[in-house]
Amino acid sequence: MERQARRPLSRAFVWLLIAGVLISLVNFGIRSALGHFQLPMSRTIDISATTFGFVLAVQNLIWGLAQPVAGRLADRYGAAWVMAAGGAIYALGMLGLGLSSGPVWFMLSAGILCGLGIAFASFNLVISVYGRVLPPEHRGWAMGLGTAAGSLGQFFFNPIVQPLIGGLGWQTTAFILAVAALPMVLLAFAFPRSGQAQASEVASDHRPLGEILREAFANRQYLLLIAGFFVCGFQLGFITIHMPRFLSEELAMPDYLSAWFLALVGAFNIIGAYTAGTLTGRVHRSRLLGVIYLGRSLMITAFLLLPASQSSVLLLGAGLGLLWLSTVPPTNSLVSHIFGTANLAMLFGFVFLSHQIGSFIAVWMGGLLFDLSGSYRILWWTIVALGVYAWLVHLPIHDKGRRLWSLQPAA
Amino acid sequence: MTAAGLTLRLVAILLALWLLFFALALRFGQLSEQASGTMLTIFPPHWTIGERFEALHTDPQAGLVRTTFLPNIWVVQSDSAGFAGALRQRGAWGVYDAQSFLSWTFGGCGLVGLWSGA
Repeated sequence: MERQARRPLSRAFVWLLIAGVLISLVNFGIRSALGHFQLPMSRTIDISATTFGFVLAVQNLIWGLAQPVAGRLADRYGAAWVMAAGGAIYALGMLGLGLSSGPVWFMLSAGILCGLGIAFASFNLVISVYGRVLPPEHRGWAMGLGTAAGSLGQFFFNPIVQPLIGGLGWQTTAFILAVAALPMVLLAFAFPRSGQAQASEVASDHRPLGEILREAFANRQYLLLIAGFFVCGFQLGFITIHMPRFLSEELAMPDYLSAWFLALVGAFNIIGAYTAGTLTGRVHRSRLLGVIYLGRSLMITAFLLLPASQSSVLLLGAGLGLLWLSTVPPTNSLVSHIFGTANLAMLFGFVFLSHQIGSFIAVWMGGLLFDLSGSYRILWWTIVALGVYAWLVHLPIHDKGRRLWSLQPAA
Repeated sequence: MTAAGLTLRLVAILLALWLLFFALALRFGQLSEQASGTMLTIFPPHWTIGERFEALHTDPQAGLVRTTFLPNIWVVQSDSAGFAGALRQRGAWGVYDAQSFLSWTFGGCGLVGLWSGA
């Protein structure tokens, strides 16, 4: 086992891993830098903060809705074609963004085209392919790597994009980002070019789509995973969007603190996602997920009950960062554990859709409840309760053959 | 190649790539000579505070808005046309939009959140 764990990766797998990491990094990086376009765009064309926020919300929903479709196409025809198309659509979206002259064009480019591009070349497909083709002892680690690369993209692109917008203008920067998206088209061809070739040990599933979906949605464990990932999206969506206002208006903290909070979340997310991926290959995955969700609830409870200070905010950012996208590798791995890997990208796509719906509802509800009550307290306690609910939801999910903890990677 | 070896090499390659692209962004992201308003200025690190103020106050309208956690980087302001070019002429290494380096701390979605909530 020890020898197997240290088995070197073949050249083809190394290229697959490098290509996947770069695709995740570029995809997530460009997306995370879009916020910087808001102020300069509002100065030159008629794009208000509300319109800008709405377009990015639509982009997120389209990402979620298109993810199962992209997954289905990748499972059936090979991820290479889907991801190459995603890279091209993403580049087209950024080109359209640079040419935007008003809200309609902005919605078509940044909202719809970028949303489709993000889904078709997303890290969800990358890690689903990793989960399907890599040797079992390397899968968890590779999923962690692919997820962490997405977080790294935020740090990679943001410091580069902002000076470019300041110096060259937002249109030219959008064109540069369109060019930056294009390598995804080439990198995609490191991925399998047919559904059958994706894993020698896995037979393709030729059953009709309806039958596959009926089986999946009749599976209680799959539904529990979907319910758990909804909570993940709800928590992340609420905290990302509403934390700045909560800190400044309810806790009277300085404005820069929310920026540092989000930065710490991003930085520790890289460590958390990578570590969770590595643990995914070694431990009981549903218990790991339960611990992550319960951990979020405990941290938030402590934060809400203890006297708030700048230190406690930063500590919360670091702690939540460790648990941020760390849910992705074990969730994806459990989907493959339940159904096998033949339809992994599509079935994980549906799980991810519930994440995006949760995020959308939390962002909307957060704003609504704040407007009605003048406080985010109800929502904070809701996400604490949902974290406990997600912990409970993961308890009945079987992870056969896995001990609670093992020093050896599991096959 | 082992998993650990690949991770380390990837980190090194990505870091090198990032430094390259960041250097290009610093080179091409500078404000135009004619720019005015609030801007972020990088002074040579060996300059004293006096030398920084001297460079700044050649323009009577110019003022210091705030310092940053790096002592040689200041956010400054002047409405005089050509303020960015003048600062560079006086020895500043770089003059950028004041928002340029907030990205070290702001994430994309978070930024939208901050602006929407403002």
